[in-house]
Amino acid sequence: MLILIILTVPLLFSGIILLRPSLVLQKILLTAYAVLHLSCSAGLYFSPGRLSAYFQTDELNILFLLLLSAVFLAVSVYHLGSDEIGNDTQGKLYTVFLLLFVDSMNGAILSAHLGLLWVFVEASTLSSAMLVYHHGNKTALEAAWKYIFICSIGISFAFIGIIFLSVGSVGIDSLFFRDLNRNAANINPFWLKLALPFLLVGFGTKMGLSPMHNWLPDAHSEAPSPVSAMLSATLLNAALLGILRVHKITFPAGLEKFSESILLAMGLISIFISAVFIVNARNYKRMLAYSSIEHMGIIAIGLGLGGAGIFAALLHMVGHSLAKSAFFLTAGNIYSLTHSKKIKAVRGLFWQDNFTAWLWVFSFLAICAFPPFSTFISELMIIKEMLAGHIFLLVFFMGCLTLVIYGMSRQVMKMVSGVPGIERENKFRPGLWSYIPQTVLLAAALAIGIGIPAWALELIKNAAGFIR
Amino acid sequence: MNFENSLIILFAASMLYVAVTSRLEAYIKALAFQGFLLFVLAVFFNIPHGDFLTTGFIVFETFFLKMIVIPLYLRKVIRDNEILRETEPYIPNLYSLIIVSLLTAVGFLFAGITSKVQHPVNPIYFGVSISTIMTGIFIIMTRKKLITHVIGYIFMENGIFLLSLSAAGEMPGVVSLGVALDIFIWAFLAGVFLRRMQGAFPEQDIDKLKGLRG
Repeated sequence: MLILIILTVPLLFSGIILLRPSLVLQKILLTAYAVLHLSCSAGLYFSPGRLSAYFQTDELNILFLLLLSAVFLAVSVYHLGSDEIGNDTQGKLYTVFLLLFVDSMNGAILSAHLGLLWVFVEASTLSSAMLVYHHGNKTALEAAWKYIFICSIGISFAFIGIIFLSVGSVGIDSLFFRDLNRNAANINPFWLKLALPFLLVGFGTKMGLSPMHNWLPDAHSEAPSPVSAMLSATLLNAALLGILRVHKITFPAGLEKFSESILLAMGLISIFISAVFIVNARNYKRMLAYSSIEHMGIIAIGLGLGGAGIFAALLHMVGHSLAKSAFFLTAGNIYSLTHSKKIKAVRGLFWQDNFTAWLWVFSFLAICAFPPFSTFISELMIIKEMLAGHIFLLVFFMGCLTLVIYGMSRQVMKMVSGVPGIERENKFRPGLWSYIPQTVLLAAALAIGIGIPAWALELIKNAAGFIR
Repeated sequence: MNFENSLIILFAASMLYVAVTSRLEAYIKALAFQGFLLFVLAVFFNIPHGDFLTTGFIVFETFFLKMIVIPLYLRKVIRDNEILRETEPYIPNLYSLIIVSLLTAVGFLFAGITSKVQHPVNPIYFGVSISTIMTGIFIIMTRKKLITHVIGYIFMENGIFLLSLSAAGEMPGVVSLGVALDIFIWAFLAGVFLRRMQGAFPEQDIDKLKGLRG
């Protein structure tokens, strides 16, 4: 029942918005759905549900669903004070596509069938492409085009992988995760081995992992900031869920080492590429986008190490989602203040807007894994896992992370310090709604780092245990 | 069986035709022709027994979408945007033909290798679909125009559809409907963005998409 509500209410609300396009109504419905989403997810946490054979919750996807609820609620509250939606007509399309985007992620997270998961991941590309294009200028068009094209080709690879997997699973004749996991030992290893690179690279494209990460910096930097926050903190996770579902099958099939080595390779290339680009960043939203690639790389490395690395990867995912959505929303504040995405054009944030500057600094600390934020603990766990026999990896890993911290701290400090250049008329002051969501998100990241609540620990532990 | 195989060979030949032709509308015709072949192959040779729902979706996807709607829509986009009728490849057509022939050979080689592993796949289907997917990517890589990228992607999708026909495990009807809808919406959205690009990048070349860097 709760799953039905989560999946159908956005369609209903989209219909209402199309009939009555008023900006106030759009913001109210968006927030109402976010609150409803969180309540339903909480309900599903206490009593797992299912809707026909195709949608159901389990130990793994409930974590993703709760995280989606939390980030979506923060983003929709941020919308209450944001001017990025535009007027009634622009807002109509924006809100409808945002609702459809969230719904496609709901579908991807809740689906119990590999083919259905694919359909929803592809649908999430289609619905969010319009959001990337929202500003309607030349660069946004270019970003949307690259986004829809590269992601679709990547996701097609995943579909090829799904077909190979179904060729190899003769006798099982089903792509429900339950059946695949139960009969994994009977899947022909040749076909599973052939399917794995396609599936991992395919879903990895959507997750922003190398070698097909090129869409991510463009899409994240050109989309309105609340959308960037959603893309980075929820969409990448939905694709990660696809990878985890596939990765889980390899354990009973005895191919986990093969899958782990692919993930490890993709993760290492990702953090290297992102480190190089972050050092040379000129656009602060692109810098955050490359940081997303870096963190997805860290998650892939955690999965690739196996053992306690899986728990660390999931904890890192939670920490990244909370911190990165706060970071992107604060980038929205900065854009409203300065009307520029260039790092050069932003100076003296402390002078212009004290609270935004503090949020910017704290988001940076949370993303770069400074203690006591939760990302620190997860990265420490991954490092600890590397110490046991992967010393060269550790050196490379630490080198890349140091480069990222150097690059980001330099840019962030440049932006907050000093005195702003030319005074602009039409001075915009972010309202209370533009501060609260980030503060809450960062507080949550901090709370998990200092003393994780027992239920949250249990949640992540169960999810990690479910994969193994 | 023989008739079925000759249809698949025709499918492979249509990709060779795409490699040598320099007219954009010929691509569209090849798309429609492939849609027709897929319709015949799916409905007359790979029909799931008595599953009317899945059959309905397959007819919808192949006959309606792949053979009629998508080609007509793309033709309309080409005509409305007054895109030049040339395909403007980066490399001469002769080289394209040689490379696509090689890709076809690789597809069959691959099918030959995999047929040694016990599996329920028809090797001819398998070889042609693998080579079609690779050719689709090749078309995307070597053609300048954005519209040819869209068409190349749909060639690739046709190859994937053929691959899914060759696999024994059937997708449930709901899933194949979802896949069909995704591809249709994709083609529609790509068309919408192409129209917008006509204003922003009048040449519609991939070379012009260089605004986002760093």
